[in-house]
Amino acid sequence: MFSGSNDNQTVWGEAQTASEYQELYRITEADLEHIRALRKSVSDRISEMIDPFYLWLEQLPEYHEFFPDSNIVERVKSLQTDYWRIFFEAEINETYVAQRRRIGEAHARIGLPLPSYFAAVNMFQELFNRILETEKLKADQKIATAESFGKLLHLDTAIVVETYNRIIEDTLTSHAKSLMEMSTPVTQIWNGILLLPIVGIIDSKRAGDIMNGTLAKIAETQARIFILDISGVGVVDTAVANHLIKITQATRLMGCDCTISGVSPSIAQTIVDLGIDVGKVKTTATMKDALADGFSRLGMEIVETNN
Amino acid sequence: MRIPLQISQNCVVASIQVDLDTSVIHQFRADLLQLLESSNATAVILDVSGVVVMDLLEFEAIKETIDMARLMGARSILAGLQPGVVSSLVELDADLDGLEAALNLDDAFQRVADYRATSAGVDQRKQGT
Repeated sequence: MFSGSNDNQTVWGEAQTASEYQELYRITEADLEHIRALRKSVSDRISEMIDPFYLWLEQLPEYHEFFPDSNIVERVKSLQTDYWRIFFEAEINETYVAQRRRIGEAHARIGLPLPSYFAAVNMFQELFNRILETEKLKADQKIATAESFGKLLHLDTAIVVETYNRIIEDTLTSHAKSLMEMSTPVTQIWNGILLLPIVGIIDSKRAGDIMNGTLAKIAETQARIFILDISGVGVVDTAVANHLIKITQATRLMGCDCTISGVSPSIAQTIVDLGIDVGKVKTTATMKDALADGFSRLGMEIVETNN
Repeated sequence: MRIPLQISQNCVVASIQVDLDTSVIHQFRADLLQLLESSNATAVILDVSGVVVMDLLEFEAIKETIDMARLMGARSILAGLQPGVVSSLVELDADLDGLEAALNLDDAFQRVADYRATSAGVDQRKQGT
């Protein structure tokens, strides 16, 4: 990212409003005039852009994936005609930006790869230049118009790419969230008792996830007992022990007692060898012990029936 | 701004709903300690369920207030700390030792009742011997 020294300058990549975009892509009123001048003639010759475009599109390997039947082709063609009609009106305002964002969304949702989108944009630019060549304009005016067309097309493409980016980021965030939920399955195993078995490694990111997931669950279920089973945790070193101690402190601050179960002989040895002060953290060897302790603290007991 | 205090089941219940800036905390301490002296309350329940953001300074101020109440013979329970507040306090490395907390007001009263029952039992045993 580039940030200008002047505060009034639009910062790269942060353009939001239509005027900011226009400034960022250096689109002047003259540029817009150039495009508008062609509005009449291009709208008469729009099929000269659309038809060759589809001929080109059809020979692409992905074509049948995205255009399984002719109805879709017709619909997309008419949308594309609208797109170019609005393009040659060359009115850059909020509606214009919003509309370009919708186009980006539509392309991202169907899973069209960005390179294909760029190739299509490139194709349209080529087709436009072909039309421009046959227009009755002076040579220097043709060059200026081609330049203006390029600016406007880049603006459109940039908005679409931004939308792609945002959608990909949203997907990543939701994946990360579901991954976190999968890695911290805090379960209510009895009224007032939560259990979380941890398998694998505990780093600070995961410890944070465990803490947030657990605290939210405690608030939701109003559980009084939380059992954290670490029998599936391979290595307990100072860092891991500190994470575990922090988690127990946090749950205690919510008013929920935390017991760490599944402390194996080797983990117990390591903790003492490393001189880790586990403080007031309650630990048990097995999950069964922790559960029995939880029941007794809640004033409950398991009774065997004789049948 | 004053933090409302009321006495219920021999406990002072303080409902903290506002930002704890210096003037609020001073007024709160004065009110609380005064009430502990004039009543025979032996426990303080600090209902913090309405607090969604707490920084270290505010937390330290609460801890000091709890220490003051302890010197006057009352134990304090924090009730209803929000998950977000707890995780930020842990991330800020706040010293959480010696604090008693409850899930909600009901749980806090329950803890006070349990404690009273056991200490009454100890007293009776003492008298018995």
